[in-house]
Amino acid sequence: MNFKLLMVICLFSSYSYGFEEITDIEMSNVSGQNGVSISGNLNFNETGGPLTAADTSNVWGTCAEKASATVQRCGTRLSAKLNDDTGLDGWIALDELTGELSFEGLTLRSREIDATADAANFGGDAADSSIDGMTVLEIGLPNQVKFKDFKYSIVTSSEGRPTDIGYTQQTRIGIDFNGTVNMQGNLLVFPTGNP
Amino acid sequence: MQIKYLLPLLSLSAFSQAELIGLDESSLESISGQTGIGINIDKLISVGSITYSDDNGVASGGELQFQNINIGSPSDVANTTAHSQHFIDVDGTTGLFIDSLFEPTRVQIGGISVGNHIGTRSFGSLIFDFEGTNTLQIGGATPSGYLFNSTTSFKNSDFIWSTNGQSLHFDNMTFDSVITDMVLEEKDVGGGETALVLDIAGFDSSQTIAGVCFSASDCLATQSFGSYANHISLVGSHIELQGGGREGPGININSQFTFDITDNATTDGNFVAYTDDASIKFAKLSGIINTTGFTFDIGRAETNLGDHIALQWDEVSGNIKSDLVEIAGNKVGAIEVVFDFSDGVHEAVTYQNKTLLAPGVAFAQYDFIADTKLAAAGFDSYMTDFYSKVNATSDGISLFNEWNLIADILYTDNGNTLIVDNYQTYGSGYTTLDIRSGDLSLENTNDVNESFLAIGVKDYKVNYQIDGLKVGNDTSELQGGYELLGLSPEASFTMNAAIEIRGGGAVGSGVTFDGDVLLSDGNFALTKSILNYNDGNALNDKTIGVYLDGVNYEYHFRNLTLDVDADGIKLALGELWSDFTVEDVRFGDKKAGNSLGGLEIKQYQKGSELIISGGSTDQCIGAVAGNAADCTTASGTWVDGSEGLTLKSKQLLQKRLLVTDSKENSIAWIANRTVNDNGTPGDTSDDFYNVNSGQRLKLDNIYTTDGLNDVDNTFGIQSTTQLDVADSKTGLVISNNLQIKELNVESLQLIHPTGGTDTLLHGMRLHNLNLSSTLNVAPIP
Repeated sequence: MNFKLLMVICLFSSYSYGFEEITDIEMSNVSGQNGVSISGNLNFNETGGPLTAADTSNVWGTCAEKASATVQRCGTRLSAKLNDDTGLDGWIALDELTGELSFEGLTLRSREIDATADAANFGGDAADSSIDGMTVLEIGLPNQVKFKDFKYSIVTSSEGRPTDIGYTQQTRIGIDFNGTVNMQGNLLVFPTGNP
Repeated sequence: MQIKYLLPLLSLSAFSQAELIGLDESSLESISGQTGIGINIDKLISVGSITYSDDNGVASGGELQFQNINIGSPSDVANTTAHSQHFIDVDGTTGLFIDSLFEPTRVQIGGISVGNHIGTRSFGSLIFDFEGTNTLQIGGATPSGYLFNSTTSFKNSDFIWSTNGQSLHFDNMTFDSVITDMVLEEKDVGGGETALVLDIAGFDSSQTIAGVCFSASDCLATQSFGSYANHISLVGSHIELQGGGREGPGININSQFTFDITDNATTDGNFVAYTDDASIKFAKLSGIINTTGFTFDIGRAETNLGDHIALQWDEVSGNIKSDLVEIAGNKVGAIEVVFDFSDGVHEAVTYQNKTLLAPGVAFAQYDFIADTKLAAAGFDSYMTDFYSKVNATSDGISLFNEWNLIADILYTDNGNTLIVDNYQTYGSGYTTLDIRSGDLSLENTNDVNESFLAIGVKDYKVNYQIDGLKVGNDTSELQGGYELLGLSPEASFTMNAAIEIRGGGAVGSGVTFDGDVLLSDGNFALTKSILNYNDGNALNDKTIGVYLDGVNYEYHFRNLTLDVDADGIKLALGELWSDFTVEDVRFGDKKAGNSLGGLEIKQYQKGSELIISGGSTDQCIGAVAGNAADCTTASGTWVDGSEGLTLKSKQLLQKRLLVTDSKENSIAWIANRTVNDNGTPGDTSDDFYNVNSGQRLKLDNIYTTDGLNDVDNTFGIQSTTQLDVADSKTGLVISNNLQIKELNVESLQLIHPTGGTDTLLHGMRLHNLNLSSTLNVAPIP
């Protein structure tokens, strides 16, 4: 069920959403409206993933093995194949994702938009965007998201699996996050258009 | 109650053979210096029928008949006597004293039936074997009534329920009980009425069941559900019995039972426990149960049951708490339920708490194609096949249940409490139970000797909701958090199902399930908020949320086994496949909110498993520290893992090999559909989406593999989730580790209802994921 829920939320975000700036007044109104506040951390492949060096002929392994150059990779890889035509059937991937991010006070609740009462927040945009009176799923962004050794690369590759025969890849960009990202406001998710 | 059938009871004595005997030495030792008589009875009793009637001759009531009753030796109940010895004495202090020794005895009832079913079908036959001792003292109570004290000890006891030649056997049971100072008297209970009143100062009992299986013979370990044990001690119990049922004659009972908590000072105290290779135990039980207006009637002509036994309650309320819940020796914590079953009105319909029981199998030989909703869902064939294997004369139990319950559920983990607040549930529906021969299984593929319990569920309308969760106490802020556990805070659905339960698990004893289940007309909340919850006026409350509306959930499982071993409660999921369709994902009102569109989620797994165990892992929330003291110093919150709940799952998603295969893993979002307004302008209640209209965005053919090829699939999606309750500031602590070697999506498709399919992505793969998270879930500050 968790998996289903996750996918539903992914669909929501691709469908319709808006950002709302949050103020102290708004924060005080939030109290007592049930919903939930979530704090914590996510850690990707802290020591490596479930694919081992023995399973994969030293392609995947632990991050310690990667550091000692025993294996080639220890992170998570998410890849997609955009074309299926001969000669154009390569893959693009978010590759070698590792690291930690932590946050405090991510909120989630259902909220009914009142353009009059919420005027200070929306500045009249509520009526303009036709969400007055609508219920939205409000995701209150955490003030800060801290990244620690959060790394990934964007690569293109000839095959879907790094263990496939003839696998080659080109690294397009490498990212290494350390530090804090300040985030303010709410992400409002609501349906529009013809269901 | 009429007493015209008293004479047959009295005539039982004519079938018995009695003689005066001398007492053996052990009996003489216990009654030294007393006088009395000893009686040796060799019983061989056969009774054609005993009938109870509350028929008022006009509009209500009927007959309950016990047929073909035999009492004799278990070796040959019809021809061999059962022996018992009784010493009877009367003295000036204790009154009448009866000391009895029962050698192996069988009480057999050939069938029990009701009203217009008598002569056609029954609840099945019952056998009760026992041997043991009983002492009974009857004296005068102060200031009035009779005073009873009794001690009973039975062993080598068996109970067998049989229908249609197949048996459910509770094997090798023991029963020990002590009744202390029970006063029986006729009392004025007000309103100009009297009742037969039992006040029981103390009742202490222990039961064990060595095995439960589908066999008339002794249970083999590999075919047994496992064993069961309990110890219950009650204090100050009170029972009132009056004549008069809910309709005309009948029986009316009020009662109060209170657990004796002094027993909980010892190791487990009051407990119930199920044991396979390891145990699930609810120990240190306490609480009180009050029942008012429990009635027993014979009812007439229920639509699907016909004549029936009617059990109904005005109210059953109280609380039951287990201070020690353990799975395989690991502590989960304490669980308490504060409950009130009483009448309630929902959407102008009154729901009562009642159970109607009729003999036989209702819906036998039904052709469910006539059920338009089941037929529309394509589920009618499963139900028709299930009920085609019994007929109008088959024995079994058919039930109609209706209920209305309000409860709070409290879970305490190392002194911190999580409240599932204001749980309300109501509904009604039919269930049938019968035992069948193995070859009548769902696909007729099982061994003929593998008898099973067949459970049919018909139009079971279930509604439930909670306000939310609270951490701390009832005055704490309401919060969510159930979303992260995949739980719905509010749901309604209609359930139809054909389920089979067999003895024996994946290893040794345990339970095996097969089944086909349909939840239809469903509405499930993903998340919800109650506006104005804190204004002190419940009438101002307004619930909004995100709801899955118009849900049909067809779920099939084969060879699902339940075992309890050192790892915990282990569910090996065998093969399962499901089709979960959502007509509208609604924002706001659960039935009328704006829709995001529909969903279709298909699931196909083999070899998946789920393990539930007690305890978790020590951790420091909000700081880095290895022990409680350092955690507090670092301004963190220490979570003690000695209690808690851990769930480990492995999901092996199977690849659809052929496009034409119906079993697959896929997720589709459907939008931009056309609506048939059904010809009633302005009335949207009967509108429906035109078939195959709308655009679909589909993640097609999702499956797991082991990372190296498209074939090997043993790792799947592995998840370990630990749930702990911290203080009210920190809230719930949910720790999770998710590991995937390879998750594949064959394609991402955009499917037009008439224009064909465009493939947006020709493949997606997730490799080598090892995601650990620790989240604390609290109210919005």
